[in-house]
Amino acid sequence: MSPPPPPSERTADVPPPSPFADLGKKFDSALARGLGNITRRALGPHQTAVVRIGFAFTWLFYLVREFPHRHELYGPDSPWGFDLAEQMISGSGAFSVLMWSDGRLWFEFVYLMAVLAAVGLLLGWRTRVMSVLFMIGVLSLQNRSIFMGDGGDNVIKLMAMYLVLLRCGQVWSLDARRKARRAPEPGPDPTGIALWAVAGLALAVTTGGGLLDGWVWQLCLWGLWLVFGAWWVVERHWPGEPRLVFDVLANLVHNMGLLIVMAQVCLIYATAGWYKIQGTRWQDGTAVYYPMNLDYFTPFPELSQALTGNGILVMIMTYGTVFIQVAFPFALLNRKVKNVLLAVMIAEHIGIAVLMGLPFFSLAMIAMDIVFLPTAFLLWLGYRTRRATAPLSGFAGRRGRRGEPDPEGPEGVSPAQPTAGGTLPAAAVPRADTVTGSGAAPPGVTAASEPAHATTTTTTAGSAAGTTGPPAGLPAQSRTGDATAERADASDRPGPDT
Amino acid sequence: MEPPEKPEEPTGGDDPGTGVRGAAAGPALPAAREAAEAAAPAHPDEGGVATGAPPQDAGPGGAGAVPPGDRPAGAPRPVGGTDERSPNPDPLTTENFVFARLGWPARITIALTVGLVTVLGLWHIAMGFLYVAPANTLSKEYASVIRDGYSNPEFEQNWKLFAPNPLQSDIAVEARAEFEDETGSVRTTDWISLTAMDIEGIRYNLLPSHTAHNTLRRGWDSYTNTLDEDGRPVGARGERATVYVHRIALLRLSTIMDIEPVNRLQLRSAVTPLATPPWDDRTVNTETIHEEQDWRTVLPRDLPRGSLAGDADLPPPNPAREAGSTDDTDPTDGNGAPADGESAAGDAGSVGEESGSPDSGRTTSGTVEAQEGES
Repeated sequence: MSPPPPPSERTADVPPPSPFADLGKKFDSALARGLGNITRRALGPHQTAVVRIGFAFTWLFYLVREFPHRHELYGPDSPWGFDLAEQMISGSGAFSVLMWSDGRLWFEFVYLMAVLAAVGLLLGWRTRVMSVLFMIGVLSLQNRSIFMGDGGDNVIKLMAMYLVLLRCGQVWSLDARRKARRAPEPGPDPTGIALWAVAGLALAVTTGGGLLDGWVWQLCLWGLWLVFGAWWVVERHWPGEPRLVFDVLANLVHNMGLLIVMAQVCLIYATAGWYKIQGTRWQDGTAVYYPMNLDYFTPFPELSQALTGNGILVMIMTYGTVFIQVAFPFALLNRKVKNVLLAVMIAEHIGIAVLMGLPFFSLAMIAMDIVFLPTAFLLWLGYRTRRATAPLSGFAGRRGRRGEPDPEGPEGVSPAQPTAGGTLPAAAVPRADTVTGSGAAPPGVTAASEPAHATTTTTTAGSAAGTTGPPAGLPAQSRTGDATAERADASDRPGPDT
Repeated sequence: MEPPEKPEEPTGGDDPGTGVRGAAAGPALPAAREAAEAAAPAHPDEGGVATGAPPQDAGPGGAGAVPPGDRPAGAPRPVGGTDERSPNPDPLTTENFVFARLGWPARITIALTVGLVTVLGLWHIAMGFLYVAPANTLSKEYASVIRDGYSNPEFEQNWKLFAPNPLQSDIAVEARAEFEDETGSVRTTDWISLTAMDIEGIRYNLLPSHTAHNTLRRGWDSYTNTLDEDGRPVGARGERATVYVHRIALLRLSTIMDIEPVNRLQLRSAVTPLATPPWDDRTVNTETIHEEQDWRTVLPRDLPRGSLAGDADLPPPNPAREAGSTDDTDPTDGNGAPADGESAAGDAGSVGEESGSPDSGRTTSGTVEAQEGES
């Protein structure tokens, strides 16, 4: 932050400027800037969106894949039976709606709701509500059968809880799209009201029936419900300061949630790395050889044997794993190093997915890693994705075209693009991205003419968090994008070099 | 590392600082801002002014382009400028609000929330750190707060992935059952490898199921962790793990053979150390070592969903009964049938008899319990 003292001229008597000069002032301004950042915007809109998508997809994929095994895993007929689970949960106090009944129908219902919540979260439909349902689904299933999970499930569980704190539907979500299409003034939102009413009823019934016990969960769920309600009222009938305060509080919670997510990733890698250092097999460079020759972790034994046949290769993999895991938290201090490590990490997880037969673990880890991806990369990825999928469906195509300015107003831009336009200073990437949104329009034109709208749009989009969608203010998404890059990437700034 | 964590305390002092950008909104603004931003890289100074961004904001906004030195120069002007430019119908947008111009209730609410969120967030991170860190001065002193007080059960985590040392043996679980065939004579199956069924599900499968990867492997882990020196499960937790692995065994055996009515069940582990890598000078005996568990008389609750039919309460392990069956190392003796009948009654009896025991067991093993979910 602090600029290096100017190279001193070293003329005879002029003392070099003190590096501590103005330190207080600099601190104050840094503090003010920081406070401005965390109150005025929900940082990392793209990072949080992609984390949301990543975990929703992982869990959804898992639930679908295990659909044939769902009874054995979480159902009343599981070897980890309802009786065992009940006994254990009565001791641990873990939350699981599956413990409310051992009925088969209830189980099927919960499993289905977990799937639907994952779909909803993936698409970003009523994102905040879906994130709550998603969390309930994840906790209910995982806490029901603790022996069925591995590290991947553990990450999903933690992130499912953290996602509730995040405004993770700011971009790349149906919410963002809806916001972008809607008039500046929020309508009555019958769907939201219906959802809220149903949720309230469910809460009342379960609390009244003594099912929802434990004051922590009662507080959390009822609190969320009240906040949803208050948000609706404030957004429609109490514009001005109250609405602003709500928005600021949501930003604060989001930003802290984002920090927690990032800290969690660091904790995971640091723990994994530092404990490995203590192991003799990791020290002598053979550790990787063993899991890759264990029956449980060799779906493709020939492949694994081929890879572990060379001692030097094994040692490189062994040491490399430890290096990147230990180094990860520190690498965040430097954008380039971080990006390289991130790429290596993701590649390693892809390798683990295949070689060790841990696809869902790896997916969860990757979903977690991507919170650190640079904004420029995410924008590019979004662009490529949209372009790749556009021909496949009219839906996607429409979405792509919506990038063009909407006659109704500045709202008609696709969420991703504005950031691009506004954020990235004078780089090729932003132009490309701007174009992205606008589909067919010639690059130069769009880039030049649209950003103004773009800014507005994203903003609005950004505030879409399910029913809690904050007031349609005009947060300059462009700057958010930038902040994103800086914060979420830990000193990263978006740039084409990523 | 992150900005959000620092700025909380001196909220008050910040007011004047943050409160620079009063004007915003209005349809005119986005265009203006965009223009400014487009311009920013090229002409940092104008960028700052045009946006109406305060010096502080210029940082994040035009981050790359604005040299720090510009700030003092550009600082004072923007505010007035912006105000004049867009007479403001709604100055209250989140993106541009001025803290100092908010009413007292709003200011107090925001300030308190900044403090509260910061404290809670940092608390959570600290708890997470102490939870995963090795036992240390702090975490030993405040273990109850860190573990049961806060983290368990929902924030439980364990990231010792293949650490400190990876597992270096294949551990297979095998089972055999004693049952009555059609003629009424008691027979014992061969040892069946339950793990082989897992491996079958994993081999050449890009998406192995958790049922193949975790169900038995982690169940067996938990089971062996609860055994005492004599190889008997300890406490309510041990009993649960025992029931669990036996249910798995029964389920899997019944998929490949008809063992009804089953009298007793025996499990054993087959541990095969992996050969050391060819380039490693250490040598390891790779002979498989079998470790047999006691024969277990199959109770209704060992059958899948068995206990749902009746009382869901599990009796604690009954040492006498287990010991009794342990002695019958010869599975072909004629005790199977009577034992089964007896045990059903004994089961019902023991529920009442020792019902207090699981509770006490549960409380004493409370802390162990918390770790049950890990691995």
